Amino acid sequence: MQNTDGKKPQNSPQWEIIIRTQGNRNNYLIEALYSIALQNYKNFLATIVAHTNIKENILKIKQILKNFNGILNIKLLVLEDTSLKRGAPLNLALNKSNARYISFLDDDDVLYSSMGNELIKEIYNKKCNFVYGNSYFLKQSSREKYYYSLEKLKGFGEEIKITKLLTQNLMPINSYIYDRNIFETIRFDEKLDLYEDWEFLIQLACTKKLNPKYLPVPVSEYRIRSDKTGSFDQNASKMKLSAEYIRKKYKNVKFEIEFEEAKLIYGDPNGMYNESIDSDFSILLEEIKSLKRDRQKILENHSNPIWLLKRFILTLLRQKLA
Amino acid sequence: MKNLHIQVVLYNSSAYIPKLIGGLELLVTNSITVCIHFLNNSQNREDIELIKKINPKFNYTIDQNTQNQGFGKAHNNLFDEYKSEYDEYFLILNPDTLVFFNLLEEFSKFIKKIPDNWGAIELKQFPHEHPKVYNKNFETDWVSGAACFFKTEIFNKLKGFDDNIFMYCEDIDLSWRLLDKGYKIYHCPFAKVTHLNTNLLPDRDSDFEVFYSLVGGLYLRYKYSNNTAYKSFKKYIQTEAKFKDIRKEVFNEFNQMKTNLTNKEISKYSKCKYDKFYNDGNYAKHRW
Repeated sequence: MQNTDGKKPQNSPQWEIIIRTQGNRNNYLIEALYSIALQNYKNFLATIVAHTNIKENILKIKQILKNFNGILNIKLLVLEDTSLKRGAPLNLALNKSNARYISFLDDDDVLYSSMGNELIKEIYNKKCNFVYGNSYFLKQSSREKYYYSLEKLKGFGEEIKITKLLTQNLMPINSYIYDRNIFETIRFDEKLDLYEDWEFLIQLACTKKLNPKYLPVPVSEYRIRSDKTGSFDQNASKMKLSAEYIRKKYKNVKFEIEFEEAKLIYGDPNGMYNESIDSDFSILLEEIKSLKRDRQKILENHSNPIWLLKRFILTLLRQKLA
Repeated sequence: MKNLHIQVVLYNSSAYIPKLIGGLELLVTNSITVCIHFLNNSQNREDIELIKKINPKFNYTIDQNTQNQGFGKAHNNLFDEYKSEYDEYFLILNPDTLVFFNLLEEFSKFIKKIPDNWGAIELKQFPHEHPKVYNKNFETDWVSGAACFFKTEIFNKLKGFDDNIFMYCEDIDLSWRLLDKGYKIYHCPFAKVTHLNTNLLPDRDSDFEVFYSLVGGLYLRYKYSNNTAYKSFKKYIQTEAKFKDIRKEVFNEFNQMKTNLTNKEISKYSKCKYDKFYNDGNYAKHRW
């Protein structure tokens, strides 16, 4: 499974996890790093992009990284131009990456240990180029000097059609791994204040090479904190502006969709596809199967009134079906 | 504290050993001498060979068991072997853990905040945190044995874990006995270990854990003479369709275990005020 790209040296990391940080929430960064340190997949690199021009922050990050010597293969990049937006640090890492498989992680979130192994195996075996899994939400409330976890819920994790990916910002940036060989030139849009991760997925889809696969395994965790320090809490006006920018950018882009997907968007207002009749029919069939099973049990005693009643219902159902 | 002794019981743990040792070597110890006591519960000696090959920078001992004794008994044996060297408290760690480098600093700060009558302090498992509730004073209903500090003298006085329990629930049993003797038990959210336990996710269960949790669950209810809880748990196992294939083995295992309990012991534990059996099968209120 590992070292599948013959062009690269044997020990070159095959999977790169790109973590962006501003160096001002290092307690979270430490957790993010520990969450990837126990990955079952062995041949990977964690690239930290410090997007800051504050020397003290960079020094603190370097100090933290010393505590991972020998347990985590880490590369540190620094992007000092803080006028650049959220996509820029990710692009810097992509420009310098040699790994075939790429995933992203914000410094306040975590990846689960089996993510690399499970998702990369799927890319390799199923010949797909983009695999994603289940992402969990951890709701936390702030207490004195620590966060108290209130609730853990399964968040995103479902088979989705490309149409849905194009129109809804659903998939967390930390829930997938993609094959960079297929999407070598795709980069984050650096004009976006927010939603750069969603727009990145739209770009992948627009190449028409995107072959996504959902694997129902836990891969990552998103924190939602009561003091709004998590990346989940965003500025409403920036959200609106970013969504508007994306709408304008793709306004005239044409995209072929499957017939089945069109049905999902426009529904079945005239009842042309009779899906409700199909489902009623399946319920009836299930009921009949169940009654047949009961009938087998009661066959020895034909005078049993319950059996007679059930036989009567069965006859009625048959008539209804006919 | 001048010395910290850490107990690790191994069972075909080679995949985790390099990170376990790597993490322990990076611990900020502030002149505390760390010594790890490994005990191999498996007849496969691969784990031992790997540790020798890595040759950790800290002091360590390696022992080999003649048979798999299970979690609690193996830790008890390790404790009996080396307790004379232990300081006021010692740490039990699972092999599939990676300690945070600041664990000892955080733990030292924590014990200064709490009353001294503690018997056990579990560390925060990360990223799969156990969902049981702890209050604002960090007190909790039971402590997990996967990463937990124990007071040496108290562990000794209580004779450690219940040897009858092969795996799972031995930590709950010890927690109740600690509480019953008047000691406090705590959850420390500041001192953390990464632990590969995906079973703590809301929709995940491993067959292995289910089996031993059912056996342990029956045993605890029987040992602490909670007849209502015992009967309803027994009925749950007997009737729940998902246990169809393991039901018989669960009861066989439990029947063997309970023969080791004397009536005198049962009578003693029946007086314990801290056994908590919730209707959902848990031993504490859960946050999720």
